[in-house]
Amino acid sequence: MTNELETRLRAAADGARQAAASTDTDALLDRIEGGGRRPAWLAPAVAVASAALVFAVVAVVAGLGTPAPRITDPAGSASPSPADTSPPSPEPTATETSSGSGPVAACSAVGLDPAVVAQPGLPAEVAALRQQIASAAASCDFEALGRLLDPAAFSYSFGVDGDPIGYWRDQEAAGGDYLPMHALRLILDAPHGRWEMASGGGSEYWVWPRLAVMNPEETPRDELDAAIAEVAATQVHTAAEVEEMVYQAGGYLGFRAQIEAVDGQARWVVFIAGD
Amino acid sequence: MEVEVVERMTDRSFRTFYDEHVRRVTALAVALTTDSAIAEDIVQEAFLRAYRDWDRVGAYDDPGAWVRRVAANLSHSRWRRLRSEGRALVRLGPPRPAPAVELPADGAAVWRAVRQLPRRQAVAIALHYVDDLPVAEVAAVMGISEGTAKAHLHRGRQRLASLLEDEVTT
Repeated sequence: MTNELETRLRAAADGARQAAASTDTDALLDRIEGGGRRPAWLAPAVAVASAALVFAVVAVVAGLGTPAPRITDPAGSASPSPADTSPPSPEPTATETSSGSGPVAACSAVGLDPAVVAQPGLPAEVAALRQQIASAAASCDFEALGRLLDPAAFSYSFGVDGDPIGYWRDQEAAGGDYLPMHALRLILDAPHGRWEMASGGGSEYWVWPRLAVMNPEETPRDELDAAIAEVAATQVHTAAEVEEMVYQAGGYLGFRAQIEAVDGQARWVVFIAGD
Repeated sequence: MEVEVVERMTDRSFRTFYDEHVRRVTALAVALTTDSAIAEDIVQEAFLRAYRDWDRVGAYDDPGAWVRRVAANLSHSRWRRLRSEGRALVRLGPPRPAPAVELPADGAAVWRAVRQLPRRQAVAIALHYVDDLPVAEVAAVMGISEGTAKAHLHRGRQRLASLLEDEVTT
């Protein structure tokens, strides 16, 4: 199969190059130098999507640029809000805004969409903070991420604490199987789960992905499989990896992010992998 | 006058960069999306970002690696977004024109299987085969170590062999 695979891959690569050769690169360059425009066939869908997003924009914008780790619900309510749809996010600069590593492209999330996938049901302050985290992750804007968390009360790696930003910078620079900004940006698109302390206290916790709050022993198999597929769809982990975690190790051990909400305020408290 | 000269030089420099890389980046995007229309949109956006920020991107050691990484990441996120936009279009009615050039059937099947791989394995394979990059350059584009790139390629090929074998037997 190895030789056959090589042959098929080489032929498939030729096909891709031939398809690329037919591109009108002069016309493409004109569009680029003209500031770019979407293909005509996308315009109707974009127009409809834009109109549908107008309602969402106001609440999300109200949360952007807040320097403090806590985000206050602009409506003063913790009720579910439809605000968690794509906001008018700035284009990712794809230039490692705060990596401080010089003119080297070192952001694993460069090019990923800074706008999160819509998730109805989140309180507005949680939705706003989720969007801010995603936007900052998409451009590896470590300074912005630093403004969104309290390093003294943030879980990011087992056995170390106090400097999540430094840890992520190092991980990004080292390059490995899992790069934190890439994983952070993508995992926030997985469907969320919610839990609260059994002892009460008023806090509720919103978690991405929802698989992270599921107990495999108490969850029907089909629901577990659906949640595994959701994580695999983000491409942070493969389905096989997640199945191994859930069915052999006893629970989801992959990347998860968590926001705590209490009294109309949201606080980002976790981005970690492991158990 | 001096500013104009600098601007013209910058512009020429971008054009040289564009001419040098656009075909290969397009081929990479075609492989990762199996759709030449979507690929063209991705390539446009990747180079547009380079163009808008050319003072900085042009100063990178390897702006070609940068634009490939942007295109690879866009191929992931844009594909997902366009799929949903495409569904909206179907509901709205206007038909989407067929891509100007179709991939050969077997090639499309291979790249569809590649898209089922973990994203980084898929990107490593596309860079290695379509862009003809050696492992060290694959690693440089992806911002990972050479050993990790090698592992992605190895695991990707293993998984791909299995996927394509399944395709034959089903």
